[in-house]
Amino acid sequence: MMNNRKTFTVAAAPALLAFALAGCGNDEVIQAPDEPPTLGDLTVLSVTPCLEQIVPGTGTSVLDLIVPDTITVDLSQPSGFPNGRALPDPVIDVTLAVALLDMDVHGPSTFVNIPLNPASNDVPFRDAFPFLGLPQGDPPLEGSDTATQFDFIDAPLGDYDRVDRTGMPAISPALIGVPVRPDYNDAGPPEDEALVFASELTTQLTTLTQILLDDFEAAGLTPCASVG
Amino acid sequence: MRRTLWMGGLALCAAALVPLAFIGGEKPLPAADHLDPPQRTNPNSDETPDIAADIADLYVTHDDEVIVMTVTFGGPSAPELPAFYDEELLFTISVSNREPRTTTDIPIRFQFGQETGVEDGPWGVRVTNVPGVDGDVVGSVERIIEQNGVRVFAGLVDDPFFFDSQGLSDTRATGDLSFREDRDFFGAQNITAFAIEIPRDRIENGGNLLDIWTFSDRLGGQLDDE
Repeated sequence: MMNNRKTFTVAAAPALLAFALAGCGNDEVIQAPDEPPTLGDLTVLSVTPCLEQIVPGTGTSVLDLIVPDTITVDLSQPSGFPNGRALPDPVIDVTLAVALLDMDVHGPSTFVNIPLNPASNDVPFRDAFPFLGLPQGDPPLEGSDTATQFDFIDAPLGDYDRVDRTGMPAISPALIGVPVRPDYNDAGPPEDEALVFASELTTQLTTLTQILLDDFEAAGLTPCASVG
Repeated sequence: MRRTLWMGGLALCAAALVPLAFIGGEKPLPAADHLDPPQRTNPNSDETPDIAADIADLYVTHDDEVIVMTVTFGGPSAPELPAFYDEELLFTISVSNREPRTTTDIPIRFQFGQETGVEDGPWGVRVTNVPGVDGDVVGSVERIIEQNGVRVFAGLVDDPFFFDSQGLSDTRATGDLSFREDRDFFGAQNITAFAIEIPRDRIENGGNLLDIWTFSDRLGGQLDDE
Protein backbone atom coordinates (compact mmCIF):
# COMPACT_ATOMS: atom_id res chain seq x y z
CA MET A 1 0.00 0.00 0.00
CA MET A 2 1.29 3.43 -0.88
CA ASN A 3 1.36 5.92 1.93
CA ASN A 4 4.48 8.00 1.57
CA ARG A 5 3.10 11.35 2.59
CA LYS A 6 4.99 14.55 3.27
CA THR A 7 6.90 15.43 6.38
CA PHE A 8 5.64 18.55 8.10
CA THR A 9 8.34 21.13 7.56
CA VAL A 10 6.45 24.39 7.47
CA ALA A 11 9.27 26.51 8.70
CA ALA A 12 7.94 29.79 7.45
CA ALA A 13 4.74 29.90 9.44
CA PRO A 14 6.13 29.58 12.96
CA ALA A 15 8.86 32.00 12.03
CA LEU A 16 6.36 34.51 10.78
CA LEU A 17 4.22 34.08 13.85
CA ALA A 18 7.18 34.54 16.14
CA PHE A 19 8.11 37.68 14.27
CA ALA A 20 4.62 39.02 14.49
CA LEU A 21 4.18 38.34 18.16
CA ALA A 22 7.54 39.85 18.94
CA GLY A 23 6.41 43.03 17.27
CA CYS A 24 3.00 43.19 18.92
CA GLY A 25 4.02 44.44 22.32
CA ASN A 26 6.22 47.19 23.65
CA ASP A 27 9.60 47.18 25.33
CA GLU A 28 8.39 46.80 28.90
CA VAL A 29 9.89 44.03 30.97
CA ILE A 30 7.25 41.40 31.59
CA GLN A 31 7.08 40.29 35.21
CA ALA A 32 6.28 36.71 36.08
CA PRO A 33 2.69 36.42 37.32
CA ASP A 34 2.05 35.57 40.94
CA GLU A 35 -0.39 32.83 40.01
CA PRO A 36 -0.29 30.37 37.11
CA PRO A 37 -2.06 31.96 34.16
CA THR A 38 -5.25 30.49 32.80
CA LEU A 39 -5.27 29.16 29.25
CA GLY A 40 -7.20 32.20 28.15
CA ASP A 41 -4.35 34.43 29.27
CA LEU A 42 -1.80 32.48 27.27
CA THR A 43 -0.75 32.74 23.66
CA VAL A 44 -0.67 29.92 21.16
CA LEU A 45 2.98 29.37 20.36
CA SER A 46 2.60 26.66 17.78
CA VAL A 47 -0.05 24.45 16.25
CA THR A 48 2.58 22.13 14.84
CA PRO A 49 1.78 19.51 17.54
CA CYS A 50 -1.82 19.57 16.29
CA LEU A 51 -0.82 19.03 12.69
CA GLU A 52 1.65 16.28 13.54
CA GLN A 53 -0.54 14.29 15.93
CA ILE A 54 -1.99 11.02 14.71
CA VAL A 55 -5.73 10.74 14.26
CA PRO A 56 -6.62 7.78 16.50
CA GLY A 57 -7.55 4.67 14.61
CA THR A 58 -6.11 5.86 11.32
CA GLY A 59 -2.31 5.96 11.52
CA THR A 60 -2.64 9.26 9.68
CA SER A 61 -1.53 12.65 10.93
CA VAL A 62 -3.87 15.62 10.96
CA LEU A 63 -1.65 17.27 8.37
CA ASP A 64 -2.00 14.29 6.05
CA LEU A 65 -5.72 14.39 6.61
CA ILE A 66 -6.10 17.97 5.38
CA VAL A 67 -3.15 18.24 2.96
CA PRO A 68 -3.66 17.64 0.11
CA ASP A 69 -7.31 18.65 0.11
CA THR A 70 -8.64 15.26 -1.02
CA ILE A 71 -10.72 12.46 0.42
CA THR A 72 -8.54 9.41 0.85
CA VAL A 73 -9.96 5.90 0.77
CA ASP A 74 -8.33 2.66 1.86
CA LEU A 75 -10.59 0.06 0.27
CA SER A 76 -9.29 -2.62 2.63
CA GLN A 77 -10.78 -0.76 5.60
CA PRO A 78 -14.40 -0.03 6.51
CA SER A 79 -15.97 2.99 4.86
CA GLY A 80 -16.58 6.06 6.99
CA PHE A 81 -14.94 9.37 7.73
CA PRO A 82 -12.03 9.95 7.49
CA ASN A 83 -11.72 6.80 5.33
CA GLY A 84 -14.05 8.32 2.76
CA ARG A 85 -17.10 10.23 3.86
CA ALA A 86 -20.63 8.95 4.28
CA LEU A 87 -23.70 11.17 4.26
CA PRO A 88 -24.41 10.81 8.02
CA ASP A 89 -20.81 11.31 9.18
CA PRO A 90 -20.38 14.23 11.66
CA VAL A 91 -17.34 15.44 9.78
CA ILE A 92 -17.05 18.94 11.17
CA ASP A 93 -17.10 17.96 14.84
CA VAL A 94 -14.53 15.22 14.20
CA THR A 95 -12.28 17.50 12.16
CA LEU A 96 -12.46 20.26 14.77
CA ALA A 97 -11.60 17.78 17.53
CA VAL A 98 -8.54 16.28 15.86
CA ALA A 99 -7.25 19.70 14.78
CA LEU A 100 -7.80 21.48 18.10
CA LEU A 101 -7.60 18.93 20.92
CA ASP A 102 -4.79 16.79 22.26
CA MET A 103 -5.53 13.30 20.92
CA ASP A 104 -3.43 11.76 23.71
CA VAL A 105 -6.09 13.05 26.11
CA HIS A 106 -9.29 13.18 24.07
CA GLY A 107 -10.83 11.19 21.25
CA PRO A 108 -11.99 12.31 17.80
CA SER A 109 -15.60 12.00 18.97
CA THR A 110 -15.23 14.43 21.87
CA PHE A 111 -17.25 17.18 20.22
CA VAL A 112 -19.69 14.67 18.74
CA ASN A 113 -20.42 13.35 22.21
CA ILE A 114 -21.04 16.77 23.78
CA PRO A 115 -22.73 17.25 21.18
CA LEU A 116 -21.33 20.43 19.72
CA ASN A 117 -23.35 20.57 16.51
CA PRO A 118 -26.52 18.87 15.25
CA ALA A 119 -25.90 15.15 15.43
CA SER A 120 -27.67 14.18 12.25
CA ASN A 121 -29.49 15.41 9.18
CA ASP A 122 -33.00 16.77 9.61
CA VAL A 123 -34.54 14.26 7.18
CA PRO A 124 -33.69 10.58 6.64
CA PHE A 125 -31.42 9.41 3.88
CA ARG A 126 -32.72 6.89 1.38
CA ASP A 127 -31.54 3.31 1.89
CA ALA A 128 -30.69 2.75 -1.78
CA PHE A 129 -28.79 4.63 -4.47
CA PRO A 130 -28.50 7.62 -4.63
CA PHE A 131 -29.02 7.55 -0.82
CA LEU A 132 -29.55 11.34 -0.66
CA GLY A 133 -32.73 12.50 1.06
CA LEU A 134 -35.73 13.54 -1.01
CA PRO A 135 -36.00 17.30 -1.64
CA GLN A 136 -37.92 19.23 0.95
CA GLY A 137 -41.05 21.23 0.17
CA ASP A 138 -42.66 20.96 -3.24
CA PRO A 139 -40.04 22.24 -5.69
CA PRO A 140 -40.37 21.77 -9.47
CA LEU A 141 -38.47 18.67 -10.63
CA GLU A 142 -37.26 18.71 -14.19
CA GLY A 143 -36.83 15.10 -15.26
CA SER A 144 -38.35 13.35 -18.27
CA ASP A 145 -39.32 9.78 -19.07
CA THR A 146 -39.27 10.43 -22.81
CA ALA A 147 -36.31 12.68 -23.55
CA THR A 148 -33.30 10.80 -24.91
CA GLN A 149 -31.36 13.45 -26.84
CA PHE A 150 -29.83 16.44 -25.09
CA ASP A 151 -27.61 19.29 -26.23
CA PHE A 152 -24.28 19.08 -24.47
CA ILE A 153 -21.45 21.47 -25.19
CA ASP A 154 -18.30 19.92 -26.61
CA ALA A 155 -15.47 22.37 -26.06
CA PRO A 156 -11.76 21.95 -25.36
CA LEU A 157 -10.86 21.75 -21.68
CA GLY A 158 -8.66 24.79 -22.19
CA ASP A 159 -11.75 26.90 -22.82
CA TYR A 160 -12.91 26.42 -19.24
CA ASP A 161 -11.83 28.34 -16.13
CA ARG A 162 -11.90 27.03 -12.59
CA VAL A 163 -14.62 28.24 -10.25
CA ASP A 164 -14.54 25.95 -7.22
CA ARG A 165 -12.89 22.84 -5.82
CA THR A 166 -13.24 20.68 -2.74
CA GLY A 167 -12.08 17.45 -1.20
CA MET A 168 -11.99 17.26 2.58
CA PRO A 169 -14.97 19.08 4.10
CA ALA A 170 -14.58 22.69 5.16
CA ILE A 171 -10.87 23.11 4.56
CA SER A 172 -11.23 26.20 2.42
CA PRO A 173 -13.96 27.93 4.48
CA ALA A 174 -12.43 27.11 7.86
CA LEU A 175 -8.67 27.18 7.32
CA ILE A 176 -8.08 29.50 4.38
CA GLY A 177 -8.53 33.25 4.80
CA VAL A 178 -11.04 34.90 2.48
CA PRO A 179 -8.46 36.90 0.47
CA VAL A 180 -6.63 33.69 -0.41
CA ARG A 181 -9.69 31.63 -1.32
CA PRO A 182 -9.66 32.28 -5.09
CA ASP A 183 -6.03 31.19 -5.33
CA TYR A 184 -6.73 28.17 -3.17
CA ASN A 185 -9.65 27.10 -5.33
CA ASP A 186 -7.67 27.64 -8.52
CA ALA A 187 -4.97 25.32 -7.21
CA GLY A 188 -5.10 21.59 -6.64
CA PRO A 189 -3.48 18.69 -4.82
CA PRO A 190 -0.02 19.29 -6.34
CA GLU A 191 0.08 22.79 -4.85
CA ASP A 192 -1.35 21.49 -1.58
CA GLU A 193 1.35 18.83 -1.44
CA ALA A 194 4.01 21.47 -2.13
CA LEU A 195 2.71 23.29 0.96
CA VAL A 196 1.91 26.43 -1.01
CA PHE A 197 -0.87 27.19 1.49
CA ALA A 198 0.83 25.87 4.60
CA SER A 199 1.39 29.22 6.25
CA GLU A 200 -2.23 30.15 5.62
CA LEU A 201 -3.50 26.92 7.15
CA THR A 202 -1.23 27.38 10.14
CA THR A 203 -2.23 30.99 10.69
CA GLN A 204 -5.94 30.24 10.54
CA LEU A 205 -5.63 27.25 12.85
CA THR A 206 -3.59 29.34 15.27
CA THR A 207 -6.25 32.05 15.27
CA LEU A 208 -9.07 29.61 15.87
CA THR A 209 -7.16 27.89 18.66
CA GLN A 210 -6.29 31.19 20.31
CA ILE A 211 -9.85 32.40 20.59
CA LEU A 212 -10.99 29.07 22.01
CA LEU A 213 -8.34 28.56 24.71
CA ASP A 214 -10.51 29.88 27.51
CA ASP A 215 -13.44 27.78 26.33
CA PHE A 216 -11.28 24.67 26.33
CA GLU A 217 -10.23 25.38 29.89
CA ALA A 218 -13.82 25.94 30.99
CA ALA A 219 -14.83 22.65 29.39
CA GLY A 220 -11.88 20.73 30.82
CA LEU A 221 -10.39 20.13 27.37
CA THR A 222 -6.69 20.04 26.58
CA PRO A 223 -5.63 21.79 23.37
CA CYS A 224 -3.06 20.15 21.13
CA ALA A 225 -1.30 23.47 20.51
CA SER A 226 1.66 24.49 22.57
CA VAL A 227 0.92 27.63 24.58
CA GLY A 228 2.94 29.92 26.76
CA MET B 1 -1.48 33.99 -11.41
CA ARG B 2 -0.77 33.24 -7.81
CA ARG B 3 -0.65 35.70 -4.99
CA THR B 4 2.26 35.70 -2.63
CA LEU B 5 1.22 34.40 0.75
CA TRP B 6 3.11 37.14 2.56
CA MET B 7 1.66 38.58 5.71
CA GLY B 8 3.24 41.44 7.54
CA GLY B 9 3.73 41.54 11.26
CA LEU B 10 0.86 43.93 11.77
CA ALA B 11 -1.63 41.59 10.15
CA LEU B 12 -0.51 38.69 12.28
CA CYS B 13 -0.73 40.79 15.43
CA ALA B 14 -4.31 41.45 14.53
CA ALA B 15 -4.79 37.81 13.65
CA ALA B 16 -4.06 36.88 17.22
CA LEU B 17 -7.22 38.69 18.21
CA VAL B 18 -9.48 38.82 15.17
CA PRO B 19 -10.22 36.14 12.57
CA LEU B 20 -8.54 36.96 9.30
CA ALA B 21 -11.86 36.58 7.52
CA PHE B 22 -13.03 39.78 9.16
CA ILE B 23 -9.78 41.54 8.44
CA GLY B 24 -10.42 40.86 4.80
CA GLY B 25 -13.71 42.72 5.03
CA GLU B 26 -15.78 39.64 4.30
CA LYS B 27 -18.45 38.21 6.53
CA PRO B 28 -17.94 34.48 6.16
CA LEU B 29 -20.71 31.95 6.11
CA PRO B 30 -18.83 28.89 7.26
CA ALA B 31 -20.02 25.65 5.83
CA ALA B 32 -18.60 22.55 4.20
CA ASP B 33 -17.76 24.33 0.96
CA HIS B 34 -21.04 26.10 0.34
CA LEU B 35 -20.70 29.68 -1.01
CA ASP B 36 -16.96 29.28 -1.37
CA PRO B 37 -14.91 30.98 -2.64
CA PRO B 38 -17.14 33.89 -1.63
CA GLN B 39 -15.64 36.19 -4.27
CA ARG B 40 -17.20 33.95 -6.93
CA THR B 41 -20.23 32.30 -5.35
CA ASN B 42 -21.57 34.21 -2.35
CA PRO B 43 -24.24 36.87 -3.07
CA ASN B 44 -22.96 38.80 -0.05
CA SER B 45 -19.57 39.18 -1.71
CA ASP B 46 -20.21 38.93 -5.42
CA GLU B 47 -22.65 40.79 -7.67
CA THR B 48 -22.74 37.85 -10.08
CA PRO B 49 -22.49 34.78 -7.86
CA ASP B 50 -21.97 31.56 -9.78
CA ILE B 51 -24.41 29.52 -7.73
CA ALA B 52 -24.64 26.68 -10.23
CA ALA B 53 -20.88 26.15 -10.06
CA ASP B 54 -20.65 26.34 -6.28
CA ILE B 55 -19.65 22.92 -4.99
CA ALA B 56 -20.79 22.19 -1.45
CA ASP B 57 -19.66 18.70 -0.51
CA LEU B 58 -17.99 15.55 -1.77
CA TYR B 59 -18.98 12.17 -0.35
CA VAL B 60 -17.22 8.86 -1.03
CA THR B 61 -18.31 5.48 0.30
CA HIS B 62 -17.49 1.90 -0.61
CA ASP B 63 -18.46 -1.66 0.15
CA ASP B 64 -17.22 -4.98 -1.20
CA GLU B 65 -18.77 -4.36 -4.60
CA VAL B 66 -19.03 -0.67 -5.44
CA ILE B 67 -17.74 2.83 -4.83
CA VAL B 68 -20.26 5.68 -4.64
CA MET B 69 -19.12 9.25 -5.21
CA THR B 70 -21.56 12.11 -4.64
CA VAL B 71 -21.17 15.84 -5.22
CA THR B 72 -23.62 18.49 -4.05
CA PHE B 73 -23.67 21.98 -5.53
CA GLY B 74 -25.84 25.06 -5.98
CA GLY B 75 -27.10 25.34 -2.45
CA PRO B 76 -28.37 25.42 0.11
CA SER B 77 -31.54 26.57 -1.61
CA ALA B 78 -35.07 27.25 -0.43
CA PRO B 79 -37.52 24.36 -0.82
CA GLU B 80 -39.55 26.13 -3.50
CA LEU B 81 -36.59 26.61 -5.84
CA PRO B 82 -35.70 24.31 -8.74
CA ALA B 83 -32.33 22.65 -9.24
CA PHE B 84 -29.40 24.64 -10.63
CA TYR B 85 -28.26 23.27 -14.00
CA ASP B 86 -26.01 25.20 -16.36
CA GLU B 87 -24.90 23.85 -19.72
CA GLU B 88 -21.70 25.92 -19.65
CA LEU B 89 -20.35 24.18 -16.57
CA LEU B 90 -18.10 21.16 -16.44
CA PHE B 91 -17.80 19.22 -13.19
CA THR B 92 -15.00 16.75 -12.62
CA ILE B 93 -14.47 14.05 -10.03
CA SER B 94 -10.74 13.33 -10.04
CA VAL B 95 -9.53 9.95 -8.87
CA SER B 96 -5.89 9.15 -8.24
CA ASN B 97 -5.18 5.47 -7.75
CA ARG B 98 -1.39 5.42 -8.06
CA GLU B 99 1.70 7.50 -7.38
CA PRO B 100 1.92 10.42 -7.50
CA ARG B 101 -1.24 10.63 -5.47
CA THR B 102 -1.83 14.27 -6.37
CA THR B 103 -2.41 13.79 -10.08
CA THR B 104 -5.59 12.64 -11.78
CA ASP B 105 -5.63 9.11 -13.16
CA ILE B 106 -9.38 8.91 -13.76
CA PRO B 107 -11.21 12.19 -14.54
CA ILE B 108 -14.95 11.54 -14.52
CA ARG B 109 -16.77 14.53 -16.01
CA PHE B 110 -20.38 15.65 -15.62
CA GLN B 111 -22.29 18.10 -17.81
CA PHE B 112 -25.88 19.19 -18.14
CA GLY B 113 -27.88 20.00 -21.27
CA GLN B 114 -31.50 20.45 -22.28
CA GLU B 115 -33.52 18.21 -24.58
CA THR B 116 -32.58 18.64 -28.21
CA GLY B 117 -35.02 20.63 -30.28
CA VAL B 118 -37.23 21.59 -27.35
CA GLU B 119 -37.27 25.17 -26.16
CA ASP B 120 -36.60 25.25 -22.44
CA GLY B 121 -36.91 21.47 -22.45
CA PRO B 122 -36.13 19.02 -19.67
CA TRP B 123 -32.56 18.66 -18.51
CA GLY B 124 -30.29 15.74 -19.05
CA VAL B 125 -26.89 14.76 -17.67
CA ARG B 126 -23.87 13.38 -19.54
CA VAL B 127 -21.03 11.57 -17.78
CA THR B 128 -17.85 10.97 -19.72
CA ASN B 129 -14.72 8.92 -19.14
CA VAL B 130 -16.39 6.39 -16.85
CA PRO B 131 -14.16 3.31 -16.52
CA GLY B 132 -15.68 0.23 -18.12
CA VAL B 133 -18.48 2.08 -19.88
CA ASP B 134 -18.90 2.06 -23.64
CA GLY B 135 -19.24 5.71 -24.61
CA ASP B 136 -20.94 8.23 -22.38
CA VAL B 137 -23.62 7.79 -19.76
CA VAL B 138 -26.55 9.98 -20.83
CA GLY B 139 -30.04 10.35 -19.45
CA SER B 140 -32.62 12.55 -17.82
CA VAL B 141 -32.05 14.23 -14.50
CA GLU B 142 -34.25 13.00 -11.64
CA ARG B 143 -33.91 9.44 -12.93
CA ILE B 144 -31.47 6.66 -12.13
CA ILE B 145 -29.49 5.90 -15.28
CA GLU B 146 -27.86 2.46 -15.57
CA GLN B 147 -25.23 1.50 -18.12
CA ASN B 148 -22.53 -1.19 -18.15
CA GLY B 149 -22.83 -1.81 -14.43
CA VAL B 150 -22.68 1.89 -13.52
CA ARG B 151 -25.52 3.90 -12.00
CA VAL B 152 -25.82 7.68 -12.22
CA PHE B 153 -28.24 10.12 -10.65
CA ALA B 154 -28.52 13.88 -10.93
CA GLY B 155 -31.23 15.97 -9.40
CA LEU B 156 -32.59 18.09 -6.59
CA VAL B 157 -32.24 16.59 -3.11
CA ASP B 158 -32.31 17.56 0.52
CA ASP B 159 -29.01 19.20 1.49
CA PRO B 160 -27.34 16.36 3.40
CA PHE B 161 -24.92 18.59 5.27
CA PHE B 162 -25.77 19.41 8.89
CA PHE B 163 -23.92 22.01 10.88
CA ASP B 164 -24.49 25.10 13.01
CA SER B 165 -22.85 27.64 10.73
CA GLN B 166 -24.11 30.49 12.85
CA GLY B 167 -22.35 28.89 15.80
CA LEU B 168 -19.00 28.98 14.06
CA SER B 169 -19.52 32.57 12.93
CA ASP B 170 -20.45 33.60 16.46
CA THR B 171 -17.53 31.64 17.90
CA ARG B 172 -15.06 33.39 15.65
CA ALA B 173 -16.64 36.80 16.24
CA THR B 174 -16.96 36.61 20.03
CA GLY B 175 -14.23 34.20 21.05
CA ASP B 176 -16.82 32.16 22.93
CA LEU B 177 -17.74 28.66 21.90
CA SER B 178 -21.22 29.30 20.51
CA PHE B 179 -22.36 26.14 18.76
CA ARG B 180 -25.87 24.79 19.29
CA GLU B 181 -26.89 21.22 18.61
CA ASP B 182 -30.44 22.31 17.83
CA ARG B 183 -29.51 24.82 15.13
CA ASP B 184 -28.86 23.38 11.67
CA PHE B 185 -28.30 26.08 9.07
CA PHE B 186 -28.85 23.51 6.32
CA GLY B 187 -32.07 22.08 7.74
CA ALA B 188 -35.17 22.36 5.56
CA GLN B 189 -33.09 23.33 2.54
CA ASN B 190 -32.32 21.62 -0.75
CA ILE B 191 -29.35 21.35 -3.05
CA THR B 192 -28.54 19.99 -6.48
CA ALA B 193 -26.45 16.83 -6.68
CA PHE B 194 -24.98 14.16 -8.91
CA ALA B 195 -23.88 10.73 -7.82
CA ILE B 196 -22.19 7.81 -9.51
CA GLU B 197 -21.94 4.21 -8.37
CA ILE B 198 -19.11 2.24 -9.99
CA PRO B 199 -17.98 -1.36 -9.49
CA ARG B 200 -14.88 -0.95 -7.37
CA ASP B 201 -12.72 -3.14 -9.61
CA ARG B 202 -13.00 -0.40 -12.24
CA ILE B 203 -11.15 2.01 -9.95
CA GLU B 204 -9.12 0.16 -7.36
CA ASN B 205 -5.49 -0.50 -8.18
CA GLY B 206 -4.25 -3.32 -6.00
CA GLY B 207 -3.82 -2.10 -2.45
CA ASN B 208 -3.22 1.50 -3.43
CA LEU B 209 -5.06 4.23 -1.61
CA LEU B 210 -7.56 6.27 -3.60
CA ASP B 211 -7.41 10.06 -3.46
CA ILE B 212 -10.50 11.84 -4.68
CA TRP B 213 -11.40 15.48 -5.18
CA THR B 214 -13.82 17.48 -7.31
CA PHE B 215 -13.92 20.82 -9.07
CA SER B 216 -16.11 22.95 -11.33
CA ASP B 217 -15.08 24.90 -14.41
CA ARG B 218 -17.03 27.43 -16.44
CA LEU B 219 -16.81 27.74 -20.21
CA GLY B 220 -15.32 31.06 -21.26
CA GLY B 221 -14.28 32.15 -17.80
CA GLN B 222 -15.89 33.10 -14.55
CA LEU B 223 -19.07 35.15 -14.34
CA ASP B 224 -17.22 38.08 -12.89
CA ASP B 225 -13.73 39.42 -12.45
CA GLU B 226 -13.65 38.80 -8.72
